[in-house]
Amino acid sequence: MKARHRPRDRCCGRSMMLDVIDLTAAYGHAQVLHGLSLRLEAGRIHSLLGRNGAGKTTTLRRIMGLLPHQQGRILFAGDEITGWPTPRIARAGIGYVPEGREVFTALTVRENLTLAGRIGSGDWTIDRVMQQFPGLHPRLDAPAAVLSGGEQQMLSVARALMTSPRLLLLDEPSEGLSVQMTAVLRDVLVALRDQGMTILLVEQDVGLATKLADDVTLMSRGRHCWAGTAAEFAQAAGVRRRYLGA
Amino acid sequence: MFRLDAMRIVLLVLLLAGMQVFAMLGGFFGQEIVAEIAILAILAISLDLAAGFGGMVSLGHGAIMGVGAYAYALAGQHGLTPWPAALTAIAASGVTGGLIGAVSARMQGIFFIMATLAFGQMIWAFTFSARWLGGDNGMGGIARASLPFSDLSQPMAFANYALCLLLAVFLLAAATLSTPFGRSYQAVHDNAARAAAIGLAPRRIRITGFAISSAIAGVAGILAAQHMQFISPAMMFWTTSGEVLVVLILGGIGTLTGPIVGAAIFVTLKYWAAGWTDHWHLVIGALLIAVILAGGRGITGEAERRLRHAFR
Repeated sequence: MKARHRPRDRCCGRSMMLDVIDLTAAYGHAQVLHGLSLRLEAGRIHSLLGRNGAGKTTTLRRIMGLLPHQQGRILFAGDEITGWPTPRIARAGIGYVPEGREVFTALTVRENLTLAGRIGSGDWTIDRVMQQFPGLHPRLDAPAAVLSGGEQQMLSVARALMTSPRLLLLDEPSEGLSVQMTAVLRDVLVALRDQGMTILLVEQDVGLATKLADDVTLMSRGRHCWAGTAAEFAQAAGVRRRYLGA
Repeated sequence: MFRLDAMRIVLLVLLLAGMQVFAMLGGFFGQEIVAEIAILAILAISLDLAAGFGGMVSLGHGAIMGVGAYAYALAGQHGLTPWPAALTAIAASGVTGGLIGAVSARMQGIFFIMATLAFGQMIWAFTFSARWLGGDNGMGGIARASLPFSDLSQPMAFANYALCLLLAVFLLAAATLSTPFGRSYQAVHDNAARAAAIGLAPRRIRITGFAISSAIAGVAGILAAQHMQFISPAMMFWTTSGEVLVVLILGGIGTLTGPIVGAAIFVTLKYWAAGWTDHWHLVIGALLIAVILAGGRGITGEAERRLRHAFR
C-alpha cells in the first residue's frame, strides 16, 4: 500500500513533526491569520491549499518566524518554537523555500550552498545535493544571477536542503517552471519524503499538489476549514467546489 | 559581492605606484598630499565595508576614527610605545563601533544614519568638553611609529609608510569579504530574511561587520594622529563623516578600489582648486552630481562596468 493511501491515525503512535495551534498573524493592521491550526505527521507530504489571499504564504512566513509573534503556538517535533527568532528556527531543522526563489544572485551556486551548509547536522553535502539536482552540477561555479528561472528554483530548494532540515516548507515551487522542470521537482520531493523528510507544500497548481500530497489542509480567510488525507480529499467534491472552485 | 579580480588588482597597483611617483617627484608638498590621501582612503575603505557591503551608511565614522586617534595619543601619554599604543587604539575604535552597532544594527536606512550621526555627535561633544582630553584645543606631541629601517620623521618615509598601511588595509578588507563571514555579511545585506531562513543571524553579523569597519577607521585615526602629531575634536565632527561619504560615492561604493580613487581626486582637487577659488566645494559638488546622474556607480564602478562591457 502506498504511503499516501495509509489511513489517518493521528492519535496513536504516529509522531507529529509540526503542530500549529490557533495561530494569528498580521501585516501591520491587516490581520491575515485568524486562528489557524495545522498538524503535520512526520515523513509525509502535506499540501496546504486555498484561494489567493487565504493566508498560505503568511502561514509559512509565520512558522519561519519572519512575522512578529501574535497569538497561538507552534510545536516542532515536540519542542515549543513559538516566538523563536528565524535563525534559531532554521537551526532547529526547518528549511524554507520562499516564493520567488530569492537566491543570492551575486554569489555563485556553490557559495549559495556553502553559506547554507554552515548550519545543520551536515547530513547534506554539496555532493549529496547534486545527486538530487544533477542539472545544477555543471553550473556550480556560475553566479546564481545567470541561472534560468527553473535552475534558480532548484538552487533555492538545494540551498534549503543544505541546512539539513527535518521539515521543508515550500512556497509555490512550481510557479513559472516548465513541464520538465516541474517533473524534476516532483520526483525530488517524493524522493525526499521517501528518505524520511516531512514536507509542507503550498501550491497553486491543485492538480500537482494533490497528486504529491499524503495529507491536505484547506484554508480560507486565515483559518483552516478542512483537513484529511489526499484520498479523502479526492472524494470530497463538495469541499473542493466550495473552497477552491474546482 | 566583492571579488578581487584582475581589473581591481591592476587598478590598485597603478594607484599605489602613481602615488609613490607623485610623492617622489612632488617634494615635501607632494609627500604630505600622499599621506593625506592614504589616510582619507583608509577611512573611506572602512566606510565602504559598512555602507557598500553591509548597507550601513554611517555618519559616525569620523567620530570613530577620532576615538582611534585619541586612544593612540592617550596610550602614548601613559607611556605606551607607538605599536602597542596603535593596537590599543584599534581595539578602542572596534569596541566603540561594536557598541554603536549593537544599538543601531536593527535599524535600516535613514534611521540607521540618524543613529550613527547621534552617536558620532555625542562622542564629539564629549571630547570637546573633556578637559583631560585637551577639550577644544586637542592634544599635541604625538609620536610617530618607529621602524628599524626607516626614519618616519622624514616626509618621504612617512608617505611610503602611509601607502604601505593603505595596501595592508585594502588587502585585509578584501580578505575579510572573501571569508565565510564576509560572504554571510554580504548575503545579509542582499536579503536579511533569506539569510535568517538559512540560519545566519543577521543582527550579530551586522554588528560584527560594523565593528570590523570601525577598527579600520581606527587605523585611519592613528595614521592621522601620527601625520599631524596633533589632534583636535574637529576631526570627530559629523562633517568629516559626510566628507568621507562624498569620497566613497565619488570613487564608487562597494568596490574597495573606489575609496582610493575618490580620496585621490578629493584631496588633489582640494589643493588644486583651492589655488584659484575659495569655493572648491562647488567643484566637488558638481562632480558628485555628475557621478550620481550617471548611475551612482562612482568613477571606479562606472569604469569597471564599461571595461567589462568592452571586453565581453
